[in-house]
Amino acid sequence: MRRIKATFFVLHAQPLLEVHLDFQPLIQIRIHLSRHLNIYATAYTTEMNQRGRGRGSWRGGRGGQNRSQQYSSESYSAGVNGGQSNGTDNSHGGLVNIGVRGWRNSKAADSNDGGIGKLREFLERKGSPPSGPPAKITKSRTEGDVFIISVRPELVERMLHLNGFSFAGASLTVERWGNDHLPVLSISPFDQGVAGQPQGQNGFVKQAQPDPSQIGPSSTKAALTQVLAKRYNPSLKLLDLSALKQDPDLQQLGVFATPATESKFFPVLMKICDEVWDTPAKKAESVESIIVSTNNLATVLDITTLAATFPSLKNLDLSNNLIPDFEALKYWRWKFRDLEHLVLTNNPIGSLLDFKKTVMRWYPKLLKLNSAEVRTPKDVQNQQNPIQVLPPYFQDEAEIGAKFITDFFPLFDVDRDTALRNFYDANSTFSVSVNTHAKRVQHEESNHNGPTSWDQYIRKSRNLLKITHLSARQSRLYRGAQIRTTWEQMPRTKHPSLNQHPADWLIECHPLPGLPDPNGAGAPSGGVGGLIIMVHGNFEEMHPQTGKTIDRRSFDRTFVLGPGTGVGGIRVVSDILVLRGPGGSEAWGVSSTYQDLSTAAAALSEPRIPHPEVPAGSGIGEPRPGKSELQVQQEVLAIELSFKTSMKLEWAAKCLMENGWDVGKAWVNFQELVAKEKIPAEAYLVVN
Amino acid sequence: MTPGIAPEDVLVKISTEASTAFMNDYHHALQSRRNTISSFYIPPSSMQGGKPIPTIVMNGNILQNGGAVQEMFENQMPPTRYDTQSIDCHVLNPQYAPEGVSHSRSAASTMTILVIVSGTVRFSEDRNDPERQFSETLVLVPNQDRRAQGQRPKDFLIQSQNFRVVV
Repeated sequence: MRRIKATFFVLHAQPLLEVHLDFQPLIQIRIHLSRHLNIYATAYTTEMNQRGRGRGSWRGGRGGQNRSQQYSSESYSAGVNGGQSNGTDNSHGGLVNIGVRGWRNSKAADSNDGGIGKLREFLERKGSPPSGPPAKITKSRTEGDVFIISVRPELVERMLHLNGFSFAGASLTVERWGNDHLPVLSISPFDQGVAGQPQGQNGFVKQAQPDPSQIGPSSTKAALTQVLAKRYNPSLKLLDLSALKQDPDLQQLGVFATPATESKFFPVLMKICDEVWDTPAKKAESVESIIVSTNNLATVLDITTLAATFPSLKNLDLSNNLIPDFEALKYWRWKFRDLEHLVLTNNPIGSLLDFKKTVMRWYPKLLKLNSAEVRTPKDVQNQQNPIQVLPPYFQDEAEIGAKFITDFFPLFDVDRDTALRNFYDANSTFSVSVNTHAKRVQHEESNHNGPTSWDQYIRKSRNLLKITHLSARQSRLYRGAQIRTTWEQMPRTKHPSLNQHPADWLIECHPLPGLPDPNGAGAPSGGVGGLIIMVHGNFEEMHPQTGKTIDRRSFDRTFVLGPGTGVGGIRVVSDILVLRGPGGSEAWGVSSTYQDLSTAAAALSEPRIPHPEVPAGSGIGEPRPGKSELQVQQEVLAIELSFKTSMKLEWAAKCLMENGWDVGKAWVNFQELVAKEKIPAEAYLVVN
Repeated sequence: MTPGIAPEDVLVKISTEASTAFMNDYHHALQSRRNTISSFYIPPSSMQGGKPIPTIVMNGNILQNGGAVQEMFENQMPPTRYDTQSIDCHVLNPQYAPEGVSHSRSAASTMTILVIVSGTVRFSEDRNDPERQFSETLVLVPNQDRRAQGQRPKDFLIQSQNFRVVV
């Protein structure tokens, strides 16, 4: 007997239990729920036949035969006959997966590839028909002790025939195999060998004795999965959990047999939901509505896990229950933050005086209560943010703002000294303040990130609400050379690429009058014009030694640029930075932002005149037959850097190659080399 | 140091006290004294080259002047609750004196200030409604015309404002 390890749910004990059970031949039935939900229920033939008998399967078929016909019309053709199984997977172009085990015990397993090469050769040779083309394994992979091969359907029988063959001294097991990217839920039919369990009869056969302790945990789980499938409507994105006690399948499982099993039932069902839709995105995408009506609920406490499992539910029907008041609903006071429609008809709570008012207060996005419209989407939008969110206002002057931003942030990440030399002077000012109370975006990962530490910044933070003494306010305002010292002490950062991740940024810019005139006589005057640039975004903080990302922060940073002697004839008058916890970029919209700047930046990097080394029709930087996409990209980068530096393409490519094809780094590197006079004259393009 | 510029400690003291007081008054006006909102802004004029000031941008929307901000808050905005969590400021120009305006010699009357504010705003009276994180950058300039403003004229007015809901 081979033993496999499996994880199961147990209704009567703790919900998650790891057990060993004996492995026997399987058949697999794929239940199509929707594009997003595919369940492989794995079952023994005998059990399937028994289970199919006497009650409707969730697609209306009866018995194994009917099922097989039903699914064969879909993507899975099941032959549920006498242990014969199938494994056609149309998503792989009609290939059938076959699992081969036992080869790990062979002599070949000592070779470098673990014997896979020899095994593959063996299977192809032995699986070849006496005449005709030799057998070919189209695809293969290894999962633990299983070598999974994908072959064309006509080869399946020949491959299965190799079951029990001897390969390099080891006996092979060859059988059909499920598709691994989908959850495989095992049903063990007779609960044989389940650790610590009596060797009982088939739980499903023993219907006269629906004691959950007698039901194999795995079979219960599979059965519940099927109940779930039966109650899910993919086109409506609706999960109908109404009148559960009247469900013959659940009755048969005995989940309502005792209060103990009943109380476990719903959490287990939710656990299964968590596996079926295993990410918050899948849940939100697949289940928008849930009906929990007609369940005799006097409180939502019994089904409170519903909120944890489906936090972004839009429509919830709790009608025909016994919910008396808001006390019974309080467990969901802060849940379902996206709820748009709540039905509480035929519950005592509905006759309370403040019913509508309270429900509306609890669920700020609620549009409909019972059958009445209580808010319009516009109302909801207005109460969230009544000032309409528009794309950034970016009113540049001669592309100075766009150029500064595209140059500055890559430099700030890799070479702060150069950033200072290029743009800051003795009168530039910089300060940083930390907003430790800022709202964060509610991402799934933010839970285990823990509270952000601000230790590295807090001693510099010039939050005037906290720093009230004049001396501290003075010492935390950095001017000229002090900025260098400050930046040296600040952690290394990595901002997202402006070109590749424009949606991570929101940048606005407009002209600003009245700035100090660097050439002024020192007398009061109306000043000179410049630009003010507001940047909102995020960055990763890098470990100083390992370079690994250790934190993620959001920031708001405003620059005031005026005429000066820096690169491009500008200087930073003022650079003022606010740091806060990760806040995402959802608030300014994902698609519509940054258009102006990205257009401006693109205009900067796009050659407006033809490159002297790239005459029209040369094909450099363009796709050509036989040219890899990578090469095209590298050529484009080389042209871009060549324009920026006036270096020949060959030298630009060399510089890029040494900087990992990162234009920002290459540009910095170029500037350093220029400063050290390390770039020979021949590297530059000849300007006519 | 250039002659005529006030010492650093004076600049820091005036700018930091003025900006924290200004933001306090301004948000108070947005919340409960909306009929005074326009008095926080410089009167409409134009900068060199003809571009109009003040420049007021809220979530990407351009508002022509303080009157437009007041109009929006009086007619379109629900009750609004601001919670300022951090403020920082720099003196932008310590010697600002637009032409045609006689200036006194005090540092406050020739100083322009860059202010950055981070905080939350709730567009409702109900504490249970969600708060949004905002970031706001303002440029304050000395109030050149202190006669018209009632009993307590403002020292500074908004020349440039950029407000964004960021979370």
